[in-house]
Amino acid sequence: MKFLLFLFFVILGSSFSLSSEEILNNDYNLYDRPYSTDELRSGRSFLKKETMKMEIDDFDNPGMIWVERGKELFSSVLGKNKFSCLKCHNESENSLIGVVSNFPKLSEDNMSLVNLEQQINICLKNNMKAEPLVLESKALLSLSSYITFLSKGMPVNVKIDHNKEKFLKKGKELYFKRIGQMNLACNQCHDHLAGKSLRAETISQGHLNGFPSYLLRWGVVASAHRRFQFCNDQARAEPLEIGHPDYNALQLYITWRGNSLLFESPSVRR
Amino acid sequence: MARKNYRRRLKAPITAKKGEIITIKTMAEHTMEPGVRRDPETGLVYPRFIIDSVIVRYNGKQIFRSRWYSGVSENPYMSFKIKVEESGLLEVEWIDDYKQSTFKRSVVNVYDDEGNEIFPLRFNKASQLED
Repeated sequence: MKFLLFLFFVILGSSFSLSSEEILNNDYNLYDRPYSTDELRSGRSFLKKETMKMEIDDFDNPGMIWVERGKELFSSVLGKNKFSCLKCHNESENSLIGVVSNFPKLSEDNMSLVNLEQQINICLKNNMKAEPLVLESKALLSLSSYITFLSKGMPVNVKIDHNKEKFLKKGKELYFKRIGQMNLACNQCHDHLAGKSLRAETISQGHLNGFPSYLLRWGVVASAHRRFQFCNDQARAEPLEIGHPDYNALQLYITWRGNSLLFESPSVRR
Repeated sequence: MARKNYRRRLKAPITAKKGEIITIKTMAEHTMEPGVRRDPETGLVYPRFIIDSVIVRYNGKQIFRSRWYSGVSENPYMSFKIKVEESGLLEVEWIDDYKQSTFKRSVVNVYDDEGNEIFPLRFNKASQLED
């Protein structure tokens, strides 16, 4: 009986072992970061001069259109209960300034992670009795970019507690996992080749402090999940759908990895 | 209803000196569909939908009119410089393919070196006639 139990645990342990060779080869520590605080460089520093100029000016930045629309939506009355977001979240109580660092956060039953966009939908559905917005729709991204804009200039500070740890581990595994026909993992470019060029583009360190961000290639504000999809597409891997739990875990790891960078959403990226 | 979703932005200085050259920035939120893209599933061409002309007026007088064709990017940004001699109302008008026009206005107050505002109306015209 003891032997059987032992076998069971061995099988259980092996099934949870890390999928990537990279992690197994090194001395694996979950809280190792690729960049120390001094080495961290925001995506802004990899931009061309013209794009940088566009991002810094509040008028030239097209992402500000989304922020303005979000501000309007935030104070407009929605749903059957007939009140706006501003009723609960104003300057005196439940202020949303600096709240972005908590996302993706744990859901109420501690079983999964919840994105900022998903949290907005939960709030709309439960408190305001309104119809939840479609993920990646204009209205939802306007709201999320307005909320992120409120904490612009504050440092990223994701805290990992006991419950969040397994999601961080999952995210780190996904980050180091080789996928697609190209057999690429995120870390191969963003940890080792940052600053070098990939055809016409400069590889960044891959931080999420500027998301939701205005992407010039699509001409719209896009969430981090849509950017992940594009990244997967480039590696010729099958992208997951937006709002997938795996993407949430990946988002948690990447945001945590850029702790102490400043929030600069809405940023302008290629 | 649809027009409400399209934002227009205009940024001009509130005060200026006489004869100063001021920079004006405009931005229109628009899809600017060029009319050549196809739906990947059905193969139907998306109809062209662009802003095709922009008119700038100062005190009701047209400064310039620019004609745009397909190929202008999404959310077009335009900036230009004008020389101001008197206070006035700056007006930018965007007209799209379907002849729907949207406006954005802003007032520029122009002062001379002594700090007096120069109005576009001529109050002393009668006295000039007497001379």
